[in-house]
Formats: sequence, C-alpha cells, structure tokens
Amino acid sequence: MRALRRVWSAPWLWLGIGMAQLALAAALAVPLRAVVRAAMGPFTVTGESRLFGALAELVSEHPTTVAAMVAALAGGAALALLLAPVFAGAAIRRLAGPCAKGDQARACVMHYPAALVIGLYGLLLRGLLAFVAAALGTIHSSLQIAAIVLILSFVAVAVDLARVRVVLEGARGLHPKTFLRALITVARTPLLWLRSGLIGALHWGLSLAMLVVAVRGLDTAWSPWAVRGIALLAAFVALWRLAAAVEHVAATTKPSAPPA
Amino acid sequence: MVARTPACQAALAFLLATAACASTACEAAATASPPVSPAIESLSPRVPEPTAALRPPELRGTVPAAAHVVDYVLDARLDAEKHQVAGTVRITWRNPAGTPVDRLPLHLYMNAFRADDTAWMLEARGSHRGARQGKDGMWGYMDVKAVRLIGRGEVADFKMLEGVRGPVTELAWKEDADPSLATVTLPTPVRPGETVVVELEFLTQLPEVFARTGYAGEFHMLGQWYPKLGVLGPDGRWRAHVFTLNAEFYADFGDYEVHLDVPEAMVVGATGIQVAADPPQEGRKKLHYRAEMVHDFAWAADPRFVEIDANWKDVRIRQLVLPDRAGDAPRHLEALIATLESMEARFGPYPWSTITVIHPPADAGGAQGMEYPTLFTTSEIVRFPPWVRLFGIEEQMSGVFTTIHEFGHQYFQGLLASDEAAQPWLDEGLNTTSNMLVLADWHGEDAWIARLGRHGFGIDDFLRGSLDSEAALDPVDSTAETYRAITGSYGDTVYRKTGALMLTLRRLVGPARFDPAFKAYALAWRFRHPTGDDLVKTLREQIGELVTLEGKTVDDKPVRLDIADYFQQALHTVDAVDFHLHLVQNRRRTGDAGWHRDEHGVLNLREPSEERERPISQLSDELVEAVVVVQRVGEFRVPVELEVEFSDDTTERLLWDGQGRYQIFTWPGRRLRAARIDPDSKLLLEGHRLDNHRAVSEFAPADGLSRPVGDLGEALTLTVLGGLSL
Repeated sequence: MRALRRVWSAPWLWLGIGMAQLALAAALAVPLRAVVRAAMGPFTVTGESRLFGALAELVSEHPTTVAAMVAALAGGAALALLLAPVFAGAAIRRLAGPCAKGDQARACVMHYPAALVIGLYGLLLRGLLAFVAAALGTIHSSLQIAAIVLILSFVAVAVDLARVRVVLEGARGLHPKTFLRALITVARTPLLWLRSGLIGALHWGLSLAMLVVAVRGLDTAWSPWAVRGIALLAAFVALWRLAAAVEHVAATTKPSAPPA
Repeated sequence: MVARTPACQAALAFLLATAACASTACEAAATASPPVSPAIESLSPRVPEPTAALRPPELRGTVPAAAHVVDYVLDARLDAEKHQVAGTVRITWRNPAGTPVDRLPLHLYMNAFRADDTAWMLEARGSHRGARQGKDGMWGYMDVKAVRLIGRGEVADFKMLEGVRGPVTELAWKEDADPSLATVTLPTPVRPGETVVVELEFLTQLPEVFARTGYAGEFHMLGQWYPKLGVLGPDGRWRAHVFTLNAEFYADFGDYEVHLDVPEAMVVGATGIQVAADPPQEGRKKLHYRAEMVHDFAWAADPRFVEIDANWKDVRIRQLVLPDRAGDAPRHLEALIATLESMEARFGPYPWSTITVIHPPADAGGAQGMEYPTLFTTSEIVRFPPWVRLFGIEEQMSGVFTTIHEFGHQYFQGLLASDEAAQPWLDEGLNTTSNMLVLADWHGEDAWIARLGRHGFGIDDFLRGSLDSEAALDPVDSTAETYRAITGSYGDTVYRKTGALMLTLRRLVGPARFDPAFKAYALAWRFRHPTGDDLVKTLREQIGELVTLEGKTVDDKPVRLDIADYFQQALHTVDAVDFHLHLVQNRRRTGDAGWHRDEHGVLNLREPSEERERPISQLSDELVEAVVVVQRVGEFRVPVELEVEFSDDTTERLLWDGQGRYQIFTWPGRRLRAARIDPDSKLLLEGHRLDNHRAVSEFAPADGLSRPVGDLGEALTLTVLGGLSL
C-alpha cells in the first residue's frame, strides 16, 4: 500500500508518462492510416461483414500496408527501449518523494545511460533464460509456462531495483555488479518478488486487455478510447511496480536501531 | 536462494505454486478434452448394426440396376507389426459397353508410394497437403502375386459363381509404365453384357501415413488397398488413369463382401455393415463386412478407438475416436446431422444404412479429411488456449467443416461418381458448393467460417479468397494432372473457384430456379458417372438457356444471362470477373444558352444563366447531372447491378449486361452521393471488390479501413510500449 501511495501522490508523473505513450502510439499510427487511405484511393468499404475480406484483399494488393504496420510496431518497440529509461530516472526520483521539476529533469539526464544499460542487461538475461524455458518446454509445456512467468517477473523486479539503487543510492549504474546485486536481492526477498510480480502480472493483464478490447471492438467508436484508458491504467500500474522497488530500498536503508 | 523468514518462505512457496497452477491450468484448458457431456453418455450405448447395407426401398431412392457393374469379394489379413495386408480379391465384372474388351486395367494405387520416380511421387516430392513422407515407413506398394480367370458367362447374380465357374486359367498381366496401373490380358474378349470373374492374390505394404492411406503406430487406415478395376466407358474405351498427385479415384458401382482377419484388440470401422464376427482365436478375429452399390471399400483399425453411436432417422452413425478426443464427437455429430438434413432435402435420399466417421489420431494427420463410401475420416477440432479465446476467436473450419465436406462427398463422388482424374472439379467443386449451402441452411445466409470478435469471415470471403493469382493459372475444367504442385493452383481452382462460379450462378438466376435444377442433376445422375457436360446440359435444360434477370436496365431492354456462355467462360477460360467504378461524379447539366431559331426562323440569343459560374456543389439539384461509369476490367462478361445513392437519400438500382467494356449511367437533375457495384454480392467470382464502392468527392465518407487498421496499430504499439516500458 505504501508503494501505491507513492504513485497516487504523483498524479502528474503518471499522467505525463501515460500521455506520452498515447501520443507516441497515435503518432506511429498516423503513417499507417495514411498508407491505408492512399491504398484505398477514392473507394470505400462499408458493412461489418466485409471488414476481414476487405482487409485481406487490401493486404494482398498492397503489401505496403503490412510493411507500414510492422514499421509502426518496430518503431514503437525501439522507442520504448530507448525512451523508457529516460523516464525511469525522473519517475524514481519523484516516487522517492516530492521534489522539484528540475531535480526530476536532472535525474532523467544523469541516470539515462545507467537506466538504459540496466534495461539492456534485463533484456539479455530474459533472452538467455528464455532458452532455459524453451528447454524445459521439451520436458513439459507446463514447466515452460511456469518458467516464463517466473523469469519475466524476476528480471523485471531486478531491473526496477537496480535502477532505483542507481538513482537513490548512487550505485554504479553501468557496472553489471549493480544488476547482479539486484538479482540476488530479489532472489533473497521473495516478498518483494511476489509483490512486484503480482503487480507486474496485473500490468501484463492490462496489456493483454488492450489487445483484446482493440480486437473485439474493432471498427467501433468506443474501442480506441477504451484502449487508451487501459493504457493509462497500465502506466499507473507500471509506476506502482517501480514504486514497490523504491519502497523496498527506502525501507532497507533506514538507519539501524540504536543499541539497547 | 535462501528464504530467511517464515513469511519469506511462505511468499516464495506461494509464488512458485501460483506460477505452476497458472501454467497447468492454461495447458489443461488448452489440451484436455472437454468433460464428457451427458450427450455422449447417451450416445455411447451401441446402436445395433443395420441388417441391410441399403436403406429400405422407400427411403433409399432410385438405385438403377444398370449401375451394378462390378462386385468384389475380398479376403484380407492385416499384419499390424509389418503393416501389411495379404489377401485375395475376386472381381466379378460385367461388360456394360457395346464393344468387346480383351484386357482389364487394374489400379494398383498403393504403388504410387513405391519409389521416388512414380508419377505421383515425382509431383508430390514426398509431401501431401502438408504431411511429409515418413522416415521409417517410407514406402508403400501393392504386389500382385497371381491373377487367375475363374469364371465367365451370362449371369444374373454376381455373387453366385456356380453359373460362371469354369477352368481356372492363369492370366498374363503386366505393370504399366507407371506401377499404379497394370493390365491383365484376357485369353478371349469379354462380349457386351458378358460377365468375367478374375481372382488376384496380392500383398499390400502400407507406408507411414502421409497421403490418406497407411499407418501411424497402432492406427491403420486402409484406403485404395486392393487392386481395383478401371471403368469401361459407353464408347468401349477404358478409363484407367495413372495415379498422379491431384488425381483421385474412379470406379464402378457394385457390391462388396469383405472378410478381414485382424488382431483381436483392433477396433475396426469399415465401409458398409458388419454382418458377422467370428469369436477371437489365438489373438486374432475375423470380421465380415458387406456393402452394396458402392464403388470403393475402405477401413480403419486402431485398438485405442472408442465407439460413439447415434441414429439419424434409420441411418446408423458410428464414430470411432481416441478417448482424448471423444469430447469432440457431439460437435461432429451435430455437423453431420445438419449436413444430412440439408443434403437429403437438396440432392435426394442418402441410400445407405450406415455412416462411419473415423477420427485419425494426431500423428496420422495425413489420413484426415478423406472420403470413402459410407465412411470418411474427419479432422480434429482445434482447441484454442484460453488467452486466445479472449480475443473472441471462433472457427468452424477445423473438424466441423471437414465433417461437412467429407460427408458431402457421399453425394458428389459417392453417388454421382464422376471421374475425379478427368474432371476433379465435378466432385470437389460441386461438393464445396453443397458445403456452402449446408452452412447457409444450418446457420443462415450470413454463416461464418471463422470469427474474430464481431467480425466474421463468411462464405463469401471463403470463396472469394480463392480468386488470387493461382486461380488464374488453369481453367476450372482441367484434368487433375494438368494442375502442377508447384503452381499451387489445384485447391483454389478445383474447390473454391468452382464453388464461387456455381453460387454466382445461383445468386444471378435466383435460388428458386437454381436449386431445383441442381437437385434435378443430382437425382438424374445418382449411381452414374456424370461429366461436366452432363451437369451443364441439365442446368441449361432446367434453368433455361437464356434467363431474363430481374431489374431495371439503362435502356429498359431486358438483360439476359446466357447459361451456356456463362459456363463456357467459367469452366473453360481463366477470365476473371472484375468491375470497377471508373467515374462517380456530379456534373453541370447542359443548358440551352446560345443562338437558336425561333418559330419564325429568326436566330435569337439566349444568355447563359448566372448559375453557370457557380461551383457544382452550390447548384440546385435540377441543374446537376449525376454520372457513373462502370468499367468491366476482367474479361469475364456477366451481368452486374449498380446501386446509386442520391443526395436526397433515395437509391436506385440498374442492371447492366456487362458485355461492353464500360457503361455510362446518367441521371439528369439528380445529385449523386455514392455508387456501388453488385450491392447484393451476387458475383462471388469477383475477387477484387475494393473498387466497387465509391462516393462523390464532396460527400467523401471515410474509406472504412484506415480507421480500424490505425486503431489496431495504435493498440499494438501501446501494448508493446506498455510491455517494454519501465
């Protein structure tokens, strides 16, 4: 709850990050819409029953639409990888407690390289452990699914913790030791892993919900707005997970009790 | 990793347990059979074996005696370890033609899998419909050990040898250039109407199943497993094709008495009815099957099969399925019954007393989706994991459509036994047509084949999806061997394009004309060997040579559809149907400004009105003229309807015969909003339809695709951003 309170007390942080994501996604969708509009020319498609047939025909006659969609997705992924660490520093700084905008901006800039590198460590580790999960899948697919769930949550929490330590404790961001320490801490603190893992699961659930709503509500007026709403909620939950790491660091760096 | 405190230990345990439970639940939901419903328990009591292979005379429909040409008596022993069948077949054949014949061609279909250089394998290159040739049981063959003439004469009863038995004569026989065919030479010709009885000893080696017939572990599918006689046409020429990749099978009707010797544990499903089962001895058992007025006999065996029986009227339905997929049986039964209801009503009675549905196991995918008389193999119903079902994904292609399609073959090919090698479209395409009609009868005209959320992929999309570049390579009426594997044109052309052309005709002339005509063809040609010409002739006779289509025309002259011309284009060319809205606009109506002679012959000047300089969008409607130009881009000439929408919210439809390259439509004094070609989607042969709906620029609506595509792209990007961020 304390972690949740940290996020709740920083509404502009949450809204700022959420709106940035919405703006980015909307921007990446502009060329995609333009490509489809250009491919359609002066013609139009109406009728719910026609949508998939028309899409199939469009893609078959205009493969550029597929390329545009892939480019939008790839662009989103690349930008997420690059931009998320930018916000991480400011977010951690703010979640640690109220501070001036200038401090947040400085945290963004100062800690961006470390946040980026730690993110890359996390990505590498996920990739490596994915091979392990794949190998377990040859034994039994249940093992594979369980391994994936544990790996993703474990690494995500470790990335959060490492970044928090860099920003709040001045740990050496670029050195892999910081990330390794974070891994060990998470492994030795199952409560943190569990808490953050559950929040992370909620976040993935919201990500899946975005897609489900988008697909089920395809070609309706309400579904894009519902998706955007869920995306804002997902940004909140992502900050909550980060706040859990901030809370852990804050709790474990309390001064020791005076001797009796 | 050390959990120091009890709370930490509990948390760790909870984490691990949660992950394990989630994964197990996901997998269980994805793979496990649905719980056996009460419906199955009520089906599981055995339905008694029918006592006759055909339904009672009042239910079976016409069974012409002249169709009865050849009988087979088979004795076969299955060696389940070696996957071999050793047996004898006695073929009793009556010469139905008007000329004597001195040879008998035999299909040894299994030899297609004998080596890499058979005609079949040269084209298939070791795969068939996505299944690859096995590594262990790579080869299959049929080795004929002996051929003997054991009788000939004039006989009424094919099964009674006494009237025809004579001295046993060893016959000369030889494999043809391709081993899927052999020729038996007779010492003296068989006269018209005379009967000859030939007996063969053979050994069939089954391959690991990848092309309909073979084995997979304990499962054995025996299709085309015995030597089969070719078909003698009325012209006295034998029809016996080399078995190539896309060629299927062709044979005459007759009766079968089949004795199978199999391991005791095997559960067997076969064509026809079981008339006897000897008590097991020494780990084996003998089963006797009978089928009447069929042109093939197939069977399957697997010790793991469970049997699920049901009845439809007096027809016994028997499903043989592995226990882990038994939960699918009710859905297959539902589909089968819907198909029976629809097809009996549309194409006449189903004449046999039994239907056996074989569900090949997952590792026998090559055996799935094949038809034999009174027996067919179906396919698994795909089970989507729960997280996939969240997206609202539903489909009726897997399993359900296979059952519909393979049962449909009981009519198109089972009853109307066309030559699948010469005209594969005549059974596959007409069957696909019937499948679409079944789906419409079952689920309504807007039946879907697959669905994602609110949006479906329907019959129209399914058929139109075939009209891609591959479907433009070969005319529909091509022989099976014309289609080359490398072009990929066979499936789209033979199945779906044929369905599209038949249903386009149905929508153009109307179901009231088409359905009785199609039924007349099915009734006239049951238990016979129809050709494409027979189909076209019947439809022309029933529907009419020239059909006047309903609808207002440009010049008030009726638009007629020439049925012969339609089929000539649809079957014998690769011409495509494609119309395009070349122009949709409002233009200024011409006035009468200028010099004109009055009644006295004097030239008078009428000044142009002030309206002349105003933009069209600001003119009143009576000063505007709506114009639409429809262009026929494709070479296929067929009537097409145009619907226009005016700015006063009224609509109008006009019919064009589609013969010229383009047609201009004008409406003086009307302002156009939009135009649409083929508003009722009658032209299923038109694959390119994105250019069929266009608005005047001043009314330009959204294109209808960029918004949903953009929304989806935005959602995907947000998911990625969310998944990777922070």
